[in-house]
Parts: sequence; C-alpha cells; structure tokens
Amino acid sequence: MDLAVTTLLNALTLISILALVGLGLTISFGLMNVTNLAHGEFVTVGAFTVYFVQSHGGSFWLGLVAAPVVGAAVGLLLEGIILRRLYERPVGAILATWGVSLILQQGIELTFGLGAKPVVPPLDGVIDLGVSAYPVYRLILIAIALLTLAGVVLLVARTRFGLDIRTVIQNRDMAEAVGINTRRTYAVAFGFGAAVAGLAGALISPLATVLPQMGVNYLANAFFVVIVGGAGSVFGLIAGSTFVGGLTSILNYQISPSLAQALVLLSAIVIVRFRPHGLVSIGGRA
Amino acid sequence: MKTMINRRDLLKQGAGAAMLAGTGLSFPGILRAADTVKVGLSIPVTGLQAILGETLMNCYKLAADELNAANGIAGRKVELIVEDNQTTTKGAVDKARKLIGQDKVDVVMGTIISLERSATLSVTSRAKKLFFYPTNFEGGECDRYFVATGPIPMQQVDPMAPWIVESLGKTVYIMGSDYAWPRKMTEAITAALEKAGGKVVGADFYPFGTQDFGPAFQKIKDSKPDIVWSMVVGNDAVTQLKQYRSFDMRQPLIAPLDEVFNKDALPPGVAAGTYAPQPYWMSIDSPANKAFIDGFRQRFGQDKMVNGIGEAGYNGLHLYALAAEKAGSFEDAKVLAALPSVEFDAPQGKVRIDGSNNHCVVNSFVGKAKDDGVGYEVVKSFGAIEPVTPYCKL
Repeated sequence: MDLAVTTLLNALTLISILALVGLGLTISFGLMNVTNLAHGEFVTVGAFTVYFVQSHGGSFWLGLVAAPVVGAAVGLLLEGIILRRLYERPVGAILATWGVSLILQQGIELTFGLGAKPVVPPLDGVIDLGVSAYPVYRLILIAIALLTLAGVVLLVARTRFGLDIRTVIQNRDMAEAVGINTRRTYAVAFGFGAAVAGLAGALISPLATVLPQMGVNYLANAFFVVIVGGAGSVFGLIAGSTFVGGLTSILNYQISPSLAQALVLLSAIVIVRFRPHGLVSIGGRA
Repeated sequence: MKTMINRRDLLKQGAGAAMLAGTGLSFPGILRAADTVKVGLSIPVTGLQAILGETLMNCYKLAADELNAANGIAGRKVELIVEDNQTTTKGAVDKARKLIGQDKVDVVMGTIISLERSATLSVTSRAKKLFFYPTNFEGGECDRYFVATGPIPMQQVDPMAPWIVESLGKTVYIMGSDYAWPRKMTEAITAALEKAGGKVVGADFYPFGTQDFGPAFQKIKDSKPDIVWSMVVGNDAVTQLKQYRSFDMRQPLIAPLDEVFNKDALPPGVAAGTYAPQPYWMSIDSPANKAFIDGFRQRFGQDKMVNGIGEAGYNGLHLYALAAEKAGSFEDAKVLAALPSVEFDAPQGKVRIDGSNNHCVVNSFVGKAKDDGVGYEVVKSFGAIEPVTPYCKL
C-alpha cells in the first residue's frame, strides 16, 4: 500500500511537471504549427525569476506569482518580434527559435553568472498521509498543476477567448472573415503557453538545478509528451504526460534508470507508429 | 652582436610582448622559448564544470605567481596559456592540439571530468607531451607522459571502508551518475566493504540531466541501508541533494561535494552533515595550507573557497617546477625521470609521484560538512596512501 501510494505520488509529480511544460508547446506546435525550440527557455526564465526574487529578499511565493508574468512577457516579445513574421515559413521558425534559445541561454548566463543558482524551498519536511510520508512541497506542486490544467480546460471550453482559439485553429481565414482578430488570438495563446511554462519553471526550481541550460532537459521531454499524447489538445497533453511520467516513475523503481528511459522512449515510438496522431487525436486534423 | 644583447636584456626586463612581436623575426625561435616556461592549461571555463573550472584555474595562477615571485622555474618565468575546453570532448581535443602545436607549451595541465581527460590524453599521448591531471578519477589510465596528482578509487575507498563499517554502519546504498567514475568507484566500494565486513545492498546509476530522484528514495526506503553513498555529480548533485532533503531521508549521506561547490551551487545548509572522502580540506591545520588559502583569497577575494581539485592542480605545477629544476631541463622525458625523486610540501601534507605508475601519493581524509553546509571538519585522517595499480606498471 505504502509502495503504491508513493509510486502514484511520484508519478503525479512528474506528470504535473510534464503537463505544465508541455501545455505551451501543444499550443504552438499543435495549434499554430510552429516548432518552438525556445520553449525550454520559458521554463528557465520562470526558475530564474524565483531565484531573482529570492536573492533580493522576496519570498518564494512572490517569485511563483511573478514567474508566469515574466514568462508571458518573454513569450509575447518573441511572438511579436520574430514568430509573427514566420507563420508561413515553419522551417524558418525552427531556425529562428533555436537562435533565440541560444541567445536567451547566453543572456541569462551573462546576467546571472556561470553555474547553478540556489533556490530555497518554501516548505521543508514531509507530511504523513497515513500509509506513507511524502514531501509537502511536492503535494503543493501537484495541486497547483491540477488547478492550472483544470483552469485551461475551462478556458478553452467555456470562454469567449476559448471559442476564438478553437475557431482560429479550425480555419484561420474563415475566423478572420467572421471578425476574429486572429493575430491577437495567436499572440495571446502563445503568451499564455509561455506563462504556464514559466509557472512550471518556478514550481520546479526548489526541486531541480537552476541553470541557464536547464530548459533543454525539459524541451525534449515536452515534445515527447505532446507527440505521444496528440498535439493540439489539452486531453492529449494529459494523456501523453500520464503515459510518459507514469511509465518512467514505475520503471525507475523496477529497473535501472538509464534502461527505464530507453524503454519509455521505445514504447513511445511504438505508439506513434500505430497512432501517428498520438493517443488522443483530434478529429479533422489528419 | 651588441644590439642583439640589448634587445635580449630589454625582453628580460619585460619591456613587453609588443617588443617581442615587433622584433620577433630577427630572433631564432629557441631564444624566445628560453625566456619563459609555457604551461598550457585546458580548463572548463564554460559548460557543466564551470564552477570548479574557475577555482582550478585560479589555483594554477596562484602557483605560477608564487614561482614567479621567487626564481620562476630554474630562472625562467612561468607563463600560463589558458584555454577553455567548454567541458566537451571536441573542445578538449582542439585546445590540446592548439596548446601543443601552436603555442608549443612545455607541459599541459588541467581538465576535470573524465571526458575532458580522455580527450586531452588522446592528443598529449601521441605527441609525447607531459599532461598533469588534478581530479580524483576512476583510474585505469596508464601512459608514460600522464601524471595524476589526484587520487584513484583505492586511495579513497580502501582506507575508508573499515572506518565506515565501524562508525556509520554496515550496509550501503549507492546512487551515481551513469558514467565511468561512479561505476568504477562502485566496484571498488563493493570489494572494499566486503573485506571490511560491510555490504553494498543496492546501486543505481542515473543518466545526466535526471530531474526526479523520487523513485530512488522510495527504493532506498524499502531496502533500509545504514548509509547512502552518492556519486551523482555536477549539477545533478544539486537536484539529488535538494530532493534527498525534501524526502526527509534519515541515513547519513556520503556525497561528492566540496567547499567550492557547496558555497556556489547549493542552497545554504543543504549539505550540512554529509560526509566526503577527499585528499584535501580547507580546515587542515598546517602552515602550508594557511599560506595556500591566504594567497588564494588575497588574489581572488576574501570570501572565496578552494577545494581538492584546485589544490591538486596547484600541487601539480609545483611538482613540475621541482622536477624541472632538479632535471635542469624542460624536456618531457627528463622532467619525467626526475619527477619521482622530488617531494612537495603541499597544503594537504607532503606529496610525491610514484614512478611505477605516475600517480600521486596523496593524503586521504574523511570530512563532515559543518552546519553552514559549506566548510568541512576532518573527522578521520588516514595519512598518505600509495597509489596501487595492478593494471599499470611503467
């Protein structure tokens, strides 16, 4: 019982992180058809925001609130200055975002210096769940991730903005014709994805190593999750994160971690072979 | 003839490199080379080992300054040529070639992790150029021109195993990064613990960039070892240690940390209470160590820390200087021949090179991190340990 609960919570931690990082990618990659190689840097920006706030005497929670704002700002800048001009040239966008990724990494390194930055966790210690004890902070991370994802689902399904987004995805020209400002919709959607990635970076920062290059680790995983799950839908994202995060956590416990990583990758290839549009493919997007 | 001497005098007074460049054509190469001894440094200034790289570089600068403040090496000034290998294989190969081929250095020193060392050695070995390596490593190298001034596993693990069984407990769980050093160390630890009456109850190796060590801690909680020995290195060590604390693990932790890493990369206090085997600690009480730390802080800042890798680099340059002076030559083979016969009064204690394998006779200490999580107190000293390498007889 203890084992099952701990494994479940470990898996949920990983799934939460993967889903939050992947969200912005599923928007840009799945909806806007832009392969954004600078997405990992939004995570880095979020984590460094927390470091910056903490090193100036602010609390972790202030950093957590500031991170998505900074993430969104960087995302909107990237969209407004570069991506906006490259929607018709997907290959150009890959190159450009890769360049931006390098610039951001080096820029952060020049600003904050070499090496890992310390971020102090807001809460120490474990909480006794009856059957097993688990770190409090991880439970908070899971809760915030679940709330954020629920919020996104509601936003897309129930609000005017969600309707606009869905319309623009289905047919951009038609959306324009019925009076939706598609430019603005794209920009806001992209900025929103960057904000959530920034939030993910902030949430990760007390657990992980805060480095200018940290985003790279998350970028590959995020693409992985989005492609396995099915690009372009929140439910696909959740399915992909659950598959990758869950399998990794369970296998990591059973076998050597390096082998576990290889097996997860292998099973993902098999899935994509038989379900080319991912576990949850959205209709009409063949 | 007269003008010739004047020019040389000018040069010796350090009238400047511009002078040298301007008139260089009129000098035979040998004359220029004779004025300095060139030490080529391959340092990870950027990349994954950047934090430790800076300290290592500064330790070489300190040793060079000390030598130059006296008589240089046999009357020649020490000139350091620093190259950034970017903590990559390609960088290390390119920079070693540049140092040897273009700069014509007398000796190559530096590098930290195994891939930098192997890459550099692939160049220095073929060029028959001396290469001094400062980091504690997995061993297994055997090359006439390769000199290791840091310890190999048997120098750290063999003396430490009986102490662990006696003072910390019998069963050990190992977590390591998935590469050569932790795997070789694990072999050494397994063998040494068995001899001492202890046991390795589990070992796991994690790919670089591992983000979540949760499943590992779950395994450890199940197998209930007395001690956890971590060899998760570099930036992953930060992740591992933060999460170790957050999971409220009770076992004593042996971790590959040092003063520099703790201060620059870890949140305050996280490392407190962890143990580490090292050939050098800042808290060693000796005049040589005091002079070393004072000299370092005077040059690079009063709040700076030094570590075992930096100290081994510093020792390497001093050992080279002593050997070259004794040999009366800077030829690689002659310096090498004189090397086992010199001894250096290092910050860690006396060190010398064992001529049978070109590895260093180093001191071996167990340190325990103080409450601030930065400095260490020496909890056990095993004295000087000879390097024994059944796989290598030079």
